[in-house]
Amino acid sequence: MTTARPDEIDQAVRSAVTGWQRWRETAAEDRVNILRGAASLMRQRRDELAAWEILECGKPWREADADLAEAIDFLEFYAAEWQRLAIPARLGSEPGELNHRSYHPRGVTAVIAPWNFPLAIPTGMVSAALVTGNPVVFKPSERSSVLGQLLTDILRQAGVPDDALCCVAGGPEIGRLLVQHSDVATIAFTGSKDVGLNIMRDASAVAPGQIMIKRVIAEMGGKNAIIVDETADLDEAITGIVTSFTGYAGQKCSACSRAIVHASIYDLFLDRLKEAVLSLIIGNPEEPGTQVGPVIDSRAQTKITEHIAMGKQDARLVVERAVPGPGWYVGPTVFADVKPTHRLAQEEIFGPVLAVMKAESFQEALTLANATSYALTGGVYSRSPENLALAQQQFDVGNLYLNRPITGALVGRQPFGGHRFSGVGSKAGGQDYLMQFTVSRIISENTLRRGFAPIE
Amino acid sequence: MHPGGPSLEPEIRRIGEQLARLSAGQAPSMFNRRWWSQAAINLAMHDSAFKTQLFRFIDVLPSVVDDARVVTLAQEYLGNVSAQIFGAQWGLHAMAATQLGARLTGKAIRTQVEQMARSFIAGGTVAEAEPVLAELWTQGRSWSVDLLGEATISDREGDRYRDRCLKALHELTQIATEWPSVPLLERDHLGLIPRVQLSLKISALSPHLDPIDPEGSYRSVVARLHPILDLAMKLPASLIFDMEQAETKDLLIEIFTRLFSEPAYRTCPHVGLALQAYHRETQRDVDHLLTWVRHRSAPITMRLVKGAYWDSDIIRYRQRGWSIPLFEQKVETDTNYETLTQTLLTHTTIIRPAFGTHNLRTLAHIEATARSLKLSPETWEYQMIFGMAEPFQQAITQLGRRLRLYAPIGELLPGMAYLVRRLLENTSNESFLRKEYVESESLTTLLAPPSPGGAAPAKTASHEAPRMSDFTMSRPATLQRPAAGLQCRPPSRQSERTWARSGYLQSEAASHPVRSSSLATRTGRMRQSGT
Repeated sequence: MTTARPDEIDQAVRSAVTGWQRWRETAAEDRVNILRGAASLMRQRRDELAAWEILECGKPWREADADLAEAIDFLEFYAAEWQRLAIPARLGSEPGELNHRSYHPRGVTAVIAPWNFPLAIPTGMVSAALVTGNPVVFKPSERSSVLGQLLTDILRQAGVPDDALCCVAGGPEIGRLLVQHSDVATIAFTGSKDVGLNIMRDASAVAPGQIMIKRVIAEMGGKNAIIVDETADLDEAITGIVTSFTGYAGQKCSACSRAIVHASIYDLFLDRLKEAVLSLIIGNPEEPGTQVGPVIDSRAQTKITEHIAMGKQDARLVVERAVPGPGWYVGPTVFADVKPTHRLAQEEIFGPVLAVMKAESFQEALTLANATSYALTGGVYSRSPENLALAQQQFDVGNLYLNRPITGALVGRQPFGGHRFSGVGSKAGGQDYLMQFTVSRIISENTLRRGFAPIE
Repeated sequence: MHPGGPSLEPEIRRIGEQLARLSAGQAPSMFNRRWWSQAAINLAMHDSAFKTQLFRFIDVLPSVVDDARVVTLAQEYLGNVSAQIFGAQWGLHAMAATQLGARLTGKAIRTQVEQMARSFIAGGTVAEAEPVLAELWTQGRSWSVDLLGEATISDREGDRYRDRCLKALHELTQIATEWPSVPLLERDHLGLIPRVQLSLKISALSPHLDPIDPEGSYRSVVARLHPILDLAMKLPASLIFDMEQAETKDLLIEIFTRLFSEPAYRTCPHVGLALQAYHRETQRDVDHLLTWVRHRSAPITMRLVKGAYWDSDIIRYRQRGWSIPLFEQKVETDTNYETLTQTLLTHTTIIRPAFGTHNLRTLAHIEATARSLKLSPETWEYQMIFGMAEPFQQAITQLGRRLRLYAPIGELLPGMAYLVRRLLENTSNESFLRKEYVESESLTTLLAPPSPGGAAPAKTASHEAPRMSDFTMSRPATLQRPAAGLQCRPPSRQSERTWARSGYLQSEAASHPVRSSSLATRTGRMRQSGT
């Protein structure tokens, strides 16, 4: 894929401005049906699209298929949501007046998407913008541009006009041009904390000719913890933690990167965890049995490896799997006795690295769990009703999972997103998601004329 | 329609009545007071919220090392009721009325639950189980040992399970060679039957049992199965593959047929697998297996069960939006079981049929079908779970039939999941034993053919919360019925806080004698009403 030139970005945005007129006037029902049509096209091409994910992003089979399934869910969920929200709602029921609330598109939406869920996440952001009537300039990650183009093709095939959706290839510099463009009204971003904060800063600067305050919908990182207390079912806790920290080689914002374990089971936990990690099948994601494939590229491999080297200075290495070569593999690695101040306990690594910390009480475990700048996902393995209740009150994350892995949120059932420095608090796949792509207008009419009002 | 056809029904009824008479005088131990208080039983039977709390508590108990923590957990799950449940046996009735058992100790609770577990688990080790197994043999009952274990989440744990199997095969053979000969248990229509039988949980052999990777699963499982098989063939001992969750059914059957087609193992006559009647595909699987066995050089054992994973499979499949591969009405499963019984019994030249069930109707149907086919009694065997449905164990043995008990061996912690499953079965609304011994349903009803509009009461027609154990054992045994006042109480949804006031517990304190009723007396009743 060739990176777009700066003037092409400008063209793309201008074309979207032109396309908006027709797209916003398209009947809501038609836009809804286009999303459903795209879902159906994806279903028909399920194996092929999953194969592309395996090839371009190195996703193991099960997770490639899950990403595709989630993309389909997003299309159908947002279609159903817009069907509900597109009908203006009457507010109040008093005679003599009519008050209606309706949602309208904000304008050109820049979608800046990540590579780790190369279909699901962009499908969610792009389809949310489109169904609400916004034209979209979509920049997939340069690490998954083939899937970005495939998604664009599918949506167009389903009926989205060319000037309502275009796909531009490129890296962060292209994203920045989009964010700064005066005609962009909304930016939907999923990615790292640093890039997200930069986008917010750039978006707050008013460009010449800009007519609207830009809105940034940002989903960012996490430093997610799973607490295991002394009553936990260790079979499930260890399996759940291994899945959560090694799934897609740890390259999920929801991934587990800290395990906080009660002192009384700490050694037993580490012993069984180590063996479970030693049993993981690492290798070519084209093989169906592969549990851990390579990371996305050499840059990621270098960064994760540096964190592991740093961890060896600070903490006790429990296990570091040797990696098959060649390829950008990072062996799943576990450190124990990690202290809250260690960088291992604070920084998002985005790789298969787990920091295990010891807690003397459940209360201490919660304090440790909350002691980062993020608040995305978190988990608790416990069979103590009181501890589970305490976690519900005090574990400050956007998505809290009790007695299950902390990845794999389902559209509609587990709307996903974090707060603090994990994001703006919006929930992808939730009932309040679409409103962010709209302006809400209230129209109030006095229906009383010469003493008469229509009878209702 | 039931496969035996209407003509079999009089015979089924006659045999059922005979079995009922033979089972008289015995009580299933499930609700025995030596385990827990009558109040706890009544509560568990009538209040599903309480039952969940109690079973969840029992489930967590063994992993908690600290005795004081056991007491606080009892409080968290059961509130003030905990002292009454676990204190009753320790003479703490008086304390129960007060706030709570300060003196209720973790150790006391642990001891009680351990006793309960021992009724279903033959021993912590083979050595510990030896007297139990020897006693069964003396009573003319065979056994199949199941080694309880935690889930296998690493290769090391897979290796350990393999080694435990090897060790158990050695030890069991050693103890069993000393025993006197019991011809009924050692020979069937196809030849000798080894005294030692081990039931294998295939998922315990590998952390890599994965339906999307059949080839990798096969390699991983078979690498650990080979030494077990080699030893079993040498000793000899029988090996049976247990069936597990629905997702792995096809994989397990494939591993079985592929492995026992290998040149080294295709002549091995003492292998078999369990087949679950609750699965819609089982008839197809059985037909496929029969075709396969014809081309193999030796017979296999087919253990027909209703299936033990109904609840968890149904929940998981529904949760994931997958279409349900299991029958959702209990009556469909029962009907399928009878159809499959007919299939198995008409192919005894190439298979050894084994029937896992604790249901009186099912037992009578198997017996009637076999007799109608003029099969000699050595041709098939009955299987039941150790510690369950003792009256039927007795009846089958007295009838002169071969009975094998599924006998788990293992530590308490991994055994707890097993125990909880048995407890759920025994207290479920679908439980045959509960219907009979607790609810005293008439023998006519209990022996009626499975049919949606048949004699079965309406509430059992739905599969709402059925627990069908691997062995169908729907029937826990208690001769004791709840006191009259309790019986009429509808299932309640009372919260934890109101349990103590519910009246169930008061009846415990008052120690109402409970009326006993046995199948035999009801046989009489039924006859009266029938004439």
